[in-house]
Amino acid sequence: MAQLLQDQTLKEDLWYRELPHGLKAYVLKKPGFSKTFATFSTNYGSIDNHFVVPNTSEELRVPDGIAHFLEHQMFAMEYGDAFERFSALGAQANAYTNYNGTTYLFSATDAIEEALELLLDYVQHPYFTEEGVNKEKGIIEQEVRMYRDAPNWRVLSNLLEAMYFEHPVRIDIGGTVESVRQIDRDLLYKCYYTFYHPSNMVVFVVGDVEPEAIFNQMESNLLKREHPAQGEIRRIFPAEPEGVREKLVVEQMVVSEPLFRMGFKDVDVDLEPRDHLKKIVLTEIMLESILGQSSGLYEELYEQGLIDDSFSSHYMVNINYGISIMGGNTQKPEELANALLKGIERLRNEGITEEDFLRVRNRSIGEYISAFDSVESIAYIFNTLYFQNISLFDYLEVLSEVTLEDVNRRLRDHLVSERHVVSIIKPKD
Amino acid sequence: MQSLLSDLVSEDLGNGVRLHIKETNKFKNTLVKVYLHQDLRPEYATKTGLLPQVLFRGTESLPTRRDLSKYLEGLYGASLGTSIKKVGEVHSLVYELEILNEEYLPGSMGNGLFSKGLGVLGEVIHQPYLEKGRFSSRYVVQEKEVLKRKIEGLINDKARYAAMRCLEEMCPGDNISLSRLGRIEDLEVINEENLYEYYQDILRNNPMDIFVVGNVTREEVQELVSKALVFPREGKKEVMNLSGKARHESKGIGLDRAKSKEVFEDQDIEQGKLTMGFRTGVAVADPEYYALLFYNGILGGFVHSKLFQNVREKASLAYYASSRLESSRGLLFISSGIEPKEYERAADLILKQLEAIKAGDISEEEMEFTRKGLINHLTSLVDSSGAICDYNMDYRLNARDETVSHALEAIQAVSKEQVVAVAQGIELDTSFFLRNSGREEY
Repeated sequence: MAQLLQDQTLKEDLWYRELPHGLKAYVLKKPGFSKTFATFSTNYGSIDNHFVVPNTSEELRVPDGIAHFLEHQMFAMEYGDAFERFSALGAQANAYTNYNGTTYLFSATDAIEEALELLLDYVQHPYFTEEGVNKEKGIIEQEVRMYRDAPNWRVLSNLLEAMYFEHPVRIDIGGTVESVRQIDRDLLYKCYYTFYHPSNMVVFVVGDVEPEAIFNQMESNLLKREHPAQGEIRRIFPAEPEGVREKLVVEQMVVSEPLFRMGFKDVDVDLEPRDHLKKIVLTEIMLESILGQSSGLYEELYEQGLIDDSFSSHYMVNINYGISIMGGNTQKPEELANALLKGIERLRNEGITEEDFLRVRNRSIGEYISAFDSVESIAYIFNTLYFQNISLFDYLEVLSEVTLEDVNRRLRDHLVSERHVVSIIKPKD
Repeated sequence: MQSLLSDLVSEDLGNGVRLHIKETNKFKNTLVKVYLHQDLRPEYATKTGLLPQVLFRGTESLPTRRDLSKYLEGLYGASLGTSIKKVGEVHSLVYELEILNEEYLPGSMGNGLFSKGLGVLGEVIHQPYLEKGRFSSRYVVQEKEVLKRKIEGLINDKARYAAMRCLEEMCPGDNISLSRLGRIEDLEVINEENLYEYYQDILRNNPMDIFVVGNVTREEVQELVSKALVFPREGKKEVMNLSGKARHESKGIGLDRAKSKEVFEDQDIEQGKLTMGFRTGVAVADPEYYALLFYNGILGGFVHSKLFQNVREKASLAYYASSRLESSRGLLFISSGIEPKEYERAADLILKQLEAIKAGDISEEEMEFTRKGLINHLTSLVDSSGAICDYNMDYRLNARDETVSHALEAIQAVSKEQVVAVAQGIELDTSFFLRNSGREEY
């Protein structure tokens, strides 16, 4: 039987059932929606690049970009291409890899059962050939190069590389052209069998569907399969110093004006799930309060001509790392860096006001509820939170619990000048 | 499923204002989207492009952006924005308000939320912040600078830049090549006085479409909208894409690259960006339009399409290879990111796919997958209130009133023969390649 979780504020019902081989499955029913959106995700991303191969003592450090390569190769099947099969059903399929997870998905308005079956089938069936792997290298090489030409990606990627000494978040998700060339079929299978066990995965379906029917279908699919029992996956993360590797990183590209990002390294990591969630909520409210369009600092910087409406901030976070990132385009990156540091220092001393805190919190509540108008955003939020051990309905609850004192403490503890990095892309002469 | 696709109810409020309402309890937010239309012409484009920037700086009662943002946060993060849209030769100022339904807020917290939201939207449109009866000179000076940098910044996104340059090379001096942001050379003469006069003129005379999608009733919307959004106006001006412009004299190029225009530009980049521009002779208002949609789908709209299958999957030349339509004028663009040295091979392989369709090489499967894909795309639109507005708006601006249900019927009816017939008229015009001649090979 499935379990039902309800949220009174969101007025949403979330169904849950644990399926054979330890696969977790969730269904959110959205009456009246035409589209059904389904994701099948594994808790395996680019940072999981060092681990012990299960049932052996082999410790493996894999080439950069392999989780992403594996995502591409999963579509290969004996019959051809699973990607195309979705097209045959009129469904749209896709997949993405990020730092801590890989997600396979489809969206469809018809033939939902067939599309779901296909999703479950191909993700549980690795079929890697020498020829297929080599062919994919050309495609991925172009994907890597595409990102290398994107200034917005580069400015962030340089920031992470400068901030961290050891943590693999400093490595690009796709790896490099050179590291991708080192990947072969055997390595892909090793990664697959380590991280794609159903007990390390989760299915999420959102749409106007019948939860029981979905669970039953998934159960039959899982029962057909043999997945040898798997113990805990041993991931190896290097110790990361508290400081930053480089304070400033500058690169030149063909851009019209400098791109600027400032990041603060979070040292409050590896927390228990509830504390972790509270930290996320506090950091997000804190950043919006001091740097959002309603803040005094934003207005000041805009009036001084140091920022324009491309300026924004966000908290990039996972269980074992976190970075508060702020920036945009600017004519004067050095002046902006100084003004930001000064402004933040002032706010750390003065504190965020009660009025600002309450207003920004209202905004966060509204935004979280609003996200439930789109099946894509619901699924994205679900997966992002899930791999940080946070459930979809906990967020609003914690949001209503946090206090001004919490937010100000977070501001003082986290936005510490010694742990900041500035990344700049400058126009090529 | 058909019942989900009920379309908008539209009515004419007179003097160039149309109101479109979709009552639905599917969404937690109500969306109000207002479009004020102008012709896309050199003499207007930059002023129109600058207005969203200036209007979002403040209103009569909320004179700074900070005041405005604070007020919206107080409305539970209602999102309000101004932007600019270009559909063919129509340039529209877009004001958008998305606000939570009152029922999602505990107790009486949400009372009157919708009317407060409409009130501030109305102020942004009709009571912008003024000094001495015109826009604030400081705001205009600052936003001119911001807009100038945005226009200069069009070079930063390489794929978009290549697409923009291809269109410019294809239609030089044509209004359709104007950027939706306007032109830097026109900025100098714009000031707080002439910009305000211009705004007053289009506000009074240019056509306006108001869309409301959400858990509302018709009566409620009619009343609130007439109070907050509609002011005395004359509505003298008409704005519309002219159908028939897609027709062109064949230059006898067909798909022959040797006879077409090729433009190369060098930048210090890693990946070459190719855009190929074609004339199809068919625009939205034409009867063959749905066959053209099919053509585009078979060629490069999906993963089963010829471009994805052959350029990416079989030849491993690219990560992306796709096609899209500029429906107002019947232009088709193909984009792909490739190794600079692979230009010849990629361009030929791409043209081979168009030749194949022209020769009738379309399988049953390609027809069926495309049909399903187009239907899936259309039926998905109704899950997004923004997409519902844009879909209807785009068709109206192209002189074709189209409902989702009718479009679905039309897609069902398209045959392979019709697609092949459309293929005969497609002509290569310009290939634009952004490359890096100096890059060392790996």
